[in-house]
Amino acid sequence: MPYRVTLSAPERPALINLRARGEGRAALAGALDLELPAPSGIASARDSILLFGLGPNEWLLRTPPRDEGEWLACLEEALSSFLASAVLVSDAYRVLRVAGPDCLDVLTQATGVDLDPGTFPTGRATRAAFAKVSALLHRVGERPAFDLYVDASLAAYVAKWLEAASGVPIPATSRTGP
Amino acid sequence: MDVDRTPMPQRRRLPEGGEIDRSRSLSFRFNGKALEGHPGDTLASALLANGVRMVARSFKYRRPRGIVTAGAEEPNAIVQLEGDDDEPNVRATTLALRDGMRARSVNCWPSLEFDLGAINERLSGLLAAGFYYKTFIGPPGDWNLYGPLIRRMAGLGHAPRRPVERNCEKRFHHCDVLVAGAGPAGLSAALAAARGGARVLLADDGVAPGGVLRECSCEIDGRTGREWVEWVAAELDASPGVLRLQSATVAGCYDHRLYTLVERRPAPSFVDARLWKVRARRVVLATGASERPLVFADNDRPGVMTLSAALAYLVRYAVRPGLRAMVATNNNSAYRAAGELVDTGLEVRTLVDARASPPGDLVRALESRGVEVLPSSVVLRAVGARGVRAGHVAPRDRSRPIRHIDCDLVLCSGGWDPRIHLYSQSGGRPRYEETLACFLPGENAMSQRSAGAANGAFTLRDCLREGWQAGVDACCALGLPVPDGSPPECPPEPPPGIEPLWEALSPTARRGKAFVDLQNDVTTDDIRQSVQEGFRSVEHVKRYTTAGMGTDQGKLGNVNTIGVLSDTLSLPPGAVGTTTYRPPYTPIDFDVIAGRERGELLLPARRTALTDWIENAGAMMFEAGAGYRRPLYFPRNGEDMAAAVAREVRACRTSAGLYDGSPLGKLELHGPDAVTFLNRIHANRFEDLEIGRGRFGWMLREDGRLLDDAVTFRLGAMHYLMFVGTGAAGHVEAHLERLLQIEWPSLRVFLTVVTTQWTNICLCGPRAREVLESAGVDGDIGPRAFPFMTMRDMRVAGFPARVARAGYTGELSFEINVRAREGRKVWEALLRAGEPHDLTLVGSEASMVMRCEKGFISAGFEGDGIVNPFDAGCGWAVDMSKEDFIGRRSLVRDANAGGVRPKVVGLLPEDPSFVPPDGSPLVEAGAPLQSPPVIGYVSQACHSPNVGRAIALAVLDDGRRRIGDRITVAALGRRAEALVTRPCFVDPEGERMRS
Repeated sequence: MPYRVTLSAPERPALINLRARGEGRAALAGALDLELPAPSGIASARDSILLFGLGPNEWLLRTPPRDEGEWLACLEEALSSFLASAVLVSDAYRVLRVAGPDCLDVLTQATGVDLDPGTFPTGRATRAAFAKVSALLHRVGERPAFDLYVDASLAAYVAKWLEAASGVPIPATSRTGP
Repeated sequence: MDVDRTPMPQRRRLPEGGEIDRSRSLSFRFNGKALEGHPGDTLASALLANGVRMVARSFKYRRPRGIVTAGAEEPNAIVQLEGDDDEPNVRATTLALRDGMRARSVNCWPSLEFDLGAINERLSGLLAAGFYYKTFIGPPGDWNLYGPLIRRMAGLGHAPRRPVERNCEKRFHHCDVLVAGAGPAGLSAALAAARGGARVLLADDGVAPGGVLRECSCEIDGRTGREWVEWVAAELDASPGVLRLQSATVAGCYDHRLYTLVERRPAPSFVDARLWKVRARRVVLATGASERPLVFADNDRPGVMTLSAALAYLVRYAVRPGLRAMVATNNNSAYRAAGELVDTGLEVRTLVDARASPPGDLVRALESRGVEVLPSSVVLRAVGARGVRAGHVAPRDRSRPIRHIDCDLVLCSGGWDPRIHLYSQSGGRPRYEETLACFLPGENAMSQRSAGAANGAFTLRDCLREGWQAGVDACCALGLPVPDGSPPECPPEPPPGIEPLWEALSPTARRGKAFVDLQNDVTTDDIRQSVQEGFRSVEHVKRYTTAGMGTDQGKLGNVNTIGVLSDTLSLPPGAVGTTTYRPPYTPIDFDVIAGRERGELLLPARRTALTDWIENAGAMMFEAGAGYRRPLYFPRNGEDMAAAVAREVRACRTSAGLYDGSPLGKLELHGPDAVTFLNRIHANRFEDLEIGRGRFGWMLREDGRLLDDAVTFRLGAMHYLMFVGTGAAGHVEAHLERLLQIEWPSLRVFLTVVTTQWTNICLCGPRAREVLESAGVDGDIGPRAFPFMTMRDMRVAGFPARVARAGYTGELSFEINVRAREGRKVWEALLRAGEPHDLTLVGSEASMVMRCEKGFISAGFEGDGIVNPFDAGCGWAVDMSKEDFIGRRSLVRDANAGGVRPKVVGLLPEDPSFVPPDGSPLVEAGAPLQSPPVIGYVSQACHSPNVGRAIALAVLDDGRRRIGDRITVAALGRRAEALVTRPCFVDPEGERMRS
């Protein structure tokens, strides 16, 4: 019997890599109207945007695809006079979703991060080694569900890996190339 | 076959009892004979139930052997599984019986009953300890005679003949408290830790929890032992944060409290085995103890087994391992077990106790059951070659003659050895405890502690208390609440009262072999001989005699080995010490270790947005580095590689070619100090680079050698885009990040990797501009408006693109970067537009031929760790007048040191069809055939369709001065003359690429 999970590749969101130091941090927080999350911390969320902490001075903004251009222009404008950068990386990642009661049984095959809800509550996100590659793991709901942000070139490999680990295929309708 | 002739199936099975499912039968075959067992049986219990006593032959002397234990310690009952299982080295004592299972004995040929190798027993005088070290040392070459024979004799079965198709999983797990073993101590510890609110992992290698409680009658907190086990298991299962695993062996302990567990046949059912990697904050080792055999002549005969094993078979599996048993012991625990044997239905005639004064109440309790107790006596010999028929018993003081006592079982209880393997693996040093005659855990090296029998607590009450306290202490150490309740209680028992007995020596001259290590056939004489030959350290004796070096790692025999060694050396066992315990505790199958990392999941494979398209187009793919599989060439109509590559290269030089360059590393630099950063990492200058223009540069290592080349475009005032080689992209990125984060944190620069954000399409060739225009561009791409080494944002085929006038072919080239999601559309649009222009798909091999034709330096070919940029002919890309850059000091040193430097040159083999293999050494023309001085090597050679002959790039000592000379290429199996040339064979002025 396979694990009780569903695998899917949701629609590609817009992703913007953000860097800021010094006063640039305040400018970035102001432009987003969000607190800047710590690396491996709880992602900041507002309306339809999410902000992940990737490193001490690095964040990843997720927005709906339709807002991509607007957000990029807004951030470039807001950060132009600060030590900061905004780089569009929407195509550099693919998002894979693993959901279902046996979610952790599948994910802990790939990563040594402690994903127990006590230590990894809903909203928390961290970069981690996942099935030998780098991924951003984000717990998205109380009902166990995680989004994995993986390099687009490795998405097919990670998808195969998840299928093998769970015994569950990714529906063809949900499978798209890089 | 040593099977009783009575046809009645499972004739040694008791009519009731046991933890087996009698409602179903399982058919299996052993050495070809059809037998039956029940679910819940192990292979060993099923064999015993069918009256099979002889299960294997021994490793060296090929003596008949039977089942000795009921667990992981088993040295003898190692079988080869056949058919679908096809697995060697399987312990029958831990192997759950399955329907259709086929098992075969090892170490015998042609059959178990008649084995030609048994001649070794006759030759045993020649096969003493270390005989192979003495016998097979020469003369050289004779190993070719011995080798095949020894290989045939050695080993325990054969490797699987087909690929193993099991589904093996690996999983990480974190817990507050790992408890190894679910016997009384482990269950108590887990219960306490769970009540304190800890995340507990309780792992037990049995099919059901309880350990010794499964086979002894006892009372805990007013319940029977089994009821108590079920009650605890139910509470644990209902506790949040507690995970309880059965059939899971804690196999290894590693640094920082990392433990590996192997779980057999876990749920869900599609997983055959699971390897757990557990990181635990606290660990309780409640692994119990193994019963030690006694050592006497012929103590390896089928029918000699440990007393606890006999009890396990009787109680757990309802199997009588024999009909009439004799018990031999030196401690109190045997009395209770012998009593339980009698109560369960096995005839025990005699108990032979080496001690002079066993406790009277224990003796009376046995005598009341009809067992004769012989104090101050030992078993000297087991009689019966293929199975015990009798035992020879004598008083230790020889005051009475040897008694011949009929029996078909000799059940040994020589004391208990705590299973200290995991403790020892953690770096702990075991200590010898005189009063218990065993090795115990000493100081703990990690945040772990041992509890129960694993810690020398040999009474049930002590096990329960120690386990509970270990759970309480773990909670306290973790800052968790002190658990509710008190330790489980049970009636007191007598202490072990052991007197060590390492060997019962027979007074007769022809004593027979007394084994300490059954699996490797090591006898007490072997131990004594190794001491006579000068070995003293237990580690040396182990290696010389091979005691403890079998797949059982001497679990059963090591302490007896130490005991015999201590007697021989006249040292206490504590001074002899133990050997080193290493993981894994029991062998782990390779497929369990491999897990899912096999086949296409062995290594992460990267794909570009065009990989699907390229594979569908019939390209020959190859492993191109950085995890990418790329097209090597695109064969048409049955072309071979040479023809396809020649066609692709010609197309690039005469019409146009299209190549997927997406794996090329792409790094964005932002910040006011970006130009300072570029200046420091490159050998040339960047401050005068205008917006929209690009520049080639070499990045050097600290020692001035070639690291990688890059082409960098300036996109804005403080914004740059670097392109670096595919294979080097990962380590260049790491190198640059290290510089920014560690060496120069004050530089105000951000580095962002955008490699996979963009599909990079290389369009090259004299007609590239026409193709691009046909595909549709929204700007002037003429040579003046869009010159070499510039980048423009424009729309290509309707999609936004960053287009660069750069390439690696030496032809007019456009590198079209579009968002990955649009890569395939632009690629197809270009192909359609290119049809009238003979646009040809190009693979990596053609690209390499073109770089060879042009003499473009590649860090992967000419960057050999010696060549610097001046040697490579790239002095034009080095500005020594700059303030500083990585590698500058070393270049100054190279210049000052003088001497002969290797230089990159071209070669034209005299035979125009001879393409020397890459790496072929270069020697002086006319150099002697034997060991001539090597003066260089071929870095890359190919057939150039444009030059119409073989060409090569090479690194040659003082090569710049040698142009026009003839040298010799000493290729494998061929020496060929070649002319040294400048390293460029096509368009030396570079007019084409600037066109």
